[in-house]
Amino acid sequence: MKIRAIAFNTFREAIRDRILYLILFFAVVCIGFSRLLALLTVGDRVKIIKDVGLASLSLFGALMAIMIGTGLVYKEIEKKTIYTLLSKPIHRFQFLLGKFFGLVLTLFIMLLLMSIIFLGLVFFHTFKVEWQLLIAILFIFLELCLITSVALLFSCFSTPILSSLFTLAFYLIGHTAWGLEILIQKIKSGFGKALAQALYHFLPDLENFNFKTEIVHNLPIPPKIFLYSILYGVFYTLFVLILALLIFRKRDFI
Amino acid sequence: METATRIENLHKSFKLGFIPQTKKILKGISLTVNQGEIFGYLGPNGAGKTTTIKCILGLIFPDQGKIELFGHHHLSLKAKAQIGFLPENPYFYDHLTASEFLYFYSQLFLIKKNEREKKIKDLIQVVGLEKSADLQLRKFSRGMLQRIGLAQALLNEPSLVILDEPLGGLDPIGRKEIRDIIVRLKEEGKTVFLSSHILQDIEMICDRVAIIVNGDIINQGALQDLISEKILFTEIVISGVEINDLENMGEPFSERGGRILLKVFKEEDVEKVLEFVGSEKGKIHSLIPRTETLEDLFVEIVKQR
Amino acid sequence: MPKRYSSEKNFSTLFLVVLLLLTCGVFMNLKIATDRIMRKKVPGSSIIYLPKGEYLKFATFGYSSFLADMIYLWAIQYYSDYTIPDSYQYLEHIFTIISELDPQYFDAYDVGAFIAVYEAQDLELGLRILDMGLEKNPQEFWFPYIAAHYLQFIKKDHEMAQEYYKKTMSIEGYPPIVRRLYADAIFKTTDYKGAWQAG
Repeated sequence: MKIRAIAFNTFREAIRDRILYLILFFAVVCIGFSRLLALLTVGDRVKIIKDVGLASLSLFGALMAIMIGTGLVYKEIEKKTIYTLLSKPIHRFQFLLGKFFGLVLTLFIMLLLMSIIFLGLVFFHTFKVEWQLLIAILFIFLELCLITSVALLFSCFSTPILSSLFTLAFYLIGHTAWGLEILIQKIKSGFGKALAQALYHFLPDLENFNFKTEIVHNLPIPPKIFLYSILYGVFYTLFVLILALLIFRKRDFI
Repeated sequence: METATRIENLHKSFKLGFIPQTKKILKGISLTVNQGEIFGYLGPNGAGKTTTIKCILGLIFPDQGKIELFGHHHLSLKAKAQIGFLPENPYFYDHLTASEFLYFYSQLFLIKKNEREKKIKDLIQVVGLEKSADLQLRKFSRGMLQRIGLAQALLNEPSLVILDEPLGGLDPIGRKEIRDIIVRLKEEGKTVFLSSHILQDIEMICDRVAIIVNGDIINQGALQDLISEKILFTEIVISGVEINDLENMGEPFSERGGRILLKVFKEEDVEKVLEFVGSEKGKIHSLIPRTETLEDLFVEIVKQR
Repeated sequence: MPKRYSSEKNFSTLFLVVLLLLTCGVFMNLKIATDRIMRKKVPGSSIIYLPKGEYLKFATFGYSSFLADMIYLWAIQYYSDYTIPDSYQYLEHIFTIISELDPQYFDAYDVGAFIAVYEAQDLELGLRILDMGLEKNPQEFWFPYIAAHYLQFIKKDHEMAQEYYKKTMSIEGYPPIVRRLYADAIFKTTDYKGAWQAG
């Protein structure tokens, strides 16, 4: 399949990018550092290791997604490797999807590496395998897929620096959407409020993928939210990919 | 017989600059490429050659106009399956080796798996890169990249091969090899569309040409129709004669070793020179009639613009 | 044929746009659905893991005052939200951090003590916070003043109140009413003569 061919080629190229390993290094340092941080805190030690560990996975995973994702299409255009590729009998959507899946595969491998180290450290402290952590990690992965699609979208028409900024903005907005909710409550009913509410529902809510707190505190999680969150992630990613395709299709490669 | 390429009334403008200003690159291009011929697309830099090619390939979308490849719409997959393209200054994924690179592209053509290996091997041989088959592309020289580029353009055994400045940056031996490959492609029944600045090469191998200047096709047709066979002047190299005696018959220039190069413009004067040299017991070393070259035509046309 | 092709292209664009709007509609509705599901939140609970202020200061790269503000704002929202069940066990920790990040942050001590006394019903904690405030800002009469206030009118501990009034009066700029309150405290401890003398 053509998409698969492009995906594997993208994966091969991305996995060689040294910046991934730099970020991986920092992630491992952070996870290790959580051990040290545990000594400074007032709370339960293992909880802080879990908390910092999951936060590192999420943050550094997002960084990887942004750093590689924003260069994905841009590099091909700059280096003109895209000319020979698109003159072949493939649809532009096959190219785009191939790039997307290639990066998702790369992130999967990287996240797997970080998870093994993280879970290893937790196991070292608790001597039992904590399966709930895997759920949190799964949702971190879903969030990364969404971030990747956004990075890819911007990569279709913008330079890596701008794309990184926009994607970072997306990430921040996604995690502070609840702030908008609080603000909306204070607005008087009317057109302004309706508009703000529509905006609130449209803006990404990355907290939907954030089960870190519940899992670390062993709080009960209503199972319906797992399904809804997964669907939310899938549909939002799909939305962004379609948008990217619409833009990419019309693009002239001067 | 279907034409290999038919372009009708192609227009394309770009919006350039921070405050977008529309710049019209193609102002109504029409041309036809017949099957089985080598077609040369000439023009000065910035005339619109590469833009035309990119329109054909679907990398750029024209504002107006129609492009057909073997009777199919140029954007259809059927059309694309029949073309091979080598861009100017090719650059490929440098982390791959030559074989891996060709393998990757072969996957985009739905070439059967068992045929792939053989095809790749053959192509590498055709372009003369057997020794570098397992070398990473980042270590390739310009000439080598050009060759591997040609190889990827031929992967699907295309009926139409589009080459954008294929001879640029090559040494004379490299140019000859590529020229030979192109001629061989024609012998295999393929159609070749190539754009170039290097007029001598075009003159050597092309059957038909089109000249584009500032987004307009100035001239199009068979090479021998465009260039008149009229003799512009005759160059005669003489020795043993006084240079002053030759002045009323042509333009003399002295060369090394006592030889004189004489440019004779009128045909009847050539006879006079031969008689004169014979009577003076001089020697004729060479006599070369110079016809109009493509370069002359080209310079003339561009000057007119 | 070209006409057919370009209409095919327009059709596929239309199809994609429709799909785009559909997916948008779906995820927006999913968002409404997920919002409805009440998740047991311990909002801002990770703040519990903030290390002590001295260490935290190193991480703030000179923005310690800003960070103090942020934590303070969060604390206000957090503690004023009655739907959050909280046992105020980290109140001291939070306000200690704020004071270490920005020792001159007046409101933090004032409001922190207020929350301690009125919400957490922990007068001792409130006093500790005010003590911290006074220690870091010896020129502020307000801290011992309000401490004395709490002691006198809430705990009815007039002896301790006297101590704090004395402290207040040792700082310049205290309002005249302090003397009378001091006198009142002494009065309550049935030292009429001392009260008359102080007043």
